[in-house]
Amino acid sequence: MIIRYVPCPVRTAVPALGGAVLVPRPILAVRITGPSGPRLRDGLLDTGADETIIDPTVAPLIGVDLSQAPEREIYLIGRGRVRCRYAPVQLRISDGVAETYEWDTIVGFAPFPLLRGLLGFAGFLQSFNADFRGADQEVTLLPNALFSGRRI
Amino acid sequence: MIDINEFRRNQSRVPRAELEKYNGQYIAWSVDGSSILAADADPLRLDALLRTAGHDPSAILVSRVAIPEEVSWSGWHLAEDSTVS
Repeated sequence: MIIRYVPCPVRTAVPALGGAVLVPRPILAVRITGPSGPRLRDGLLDTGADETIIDPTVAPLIGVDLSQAPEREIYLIGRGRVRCRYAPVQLRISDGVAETYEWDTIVGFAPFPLLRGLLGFAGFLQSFNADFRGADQEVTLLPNALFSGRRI
Repeated sequence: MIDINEFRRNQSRVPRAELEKYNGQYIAWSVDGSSILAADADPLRLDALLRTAGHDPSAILVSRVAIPEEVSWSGWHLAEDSTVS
């Protein structure tokens, strides 16, 4: 599956990008399904994230009760240690044309609203081989041997 | 189902000035990414707005508008850190 990077306007120019104020980011629409149904939200493919973390405002919309969810401490750059709650969900990604992948996993729900989810190793990148092609501003995702879901 | 690359192409053509009207809010995109169906500061209210308008919220991409975003050294972008400048 080939996903185009999304140009994001940023506050300060990036010197190594020639002073650009549009930063291309590997952002992917992800369908997150809980007990009461799915919602579609953007997530950032992030090889530096150990886990997959979802914006908590999605939880009530998909029927996930975070008050009953197990909690653990994680380290957040700029914030130090914060507590994150975890719940099982189903994730689905699709290019809408040829490839759709769906799998069950456990994700973290951040303790505060996020602009977009973080698609990190556990729960996401562990199951895909990702080829980030900077020059083309595209990423190719291919399910790997650890992918335990299904192609639709 | 959204053709995501076509969606992104259309989404990138939406003028920045148009998006800035919704800064700090959650917006619901049309299926082809060319327009904004509804917006609200509260994602639960936005969901209800979509239902009222006859849309299926489960098939609509919702994102939060933050223009500009911060340049970041990690993937974390907290909503509260991207308020209107």
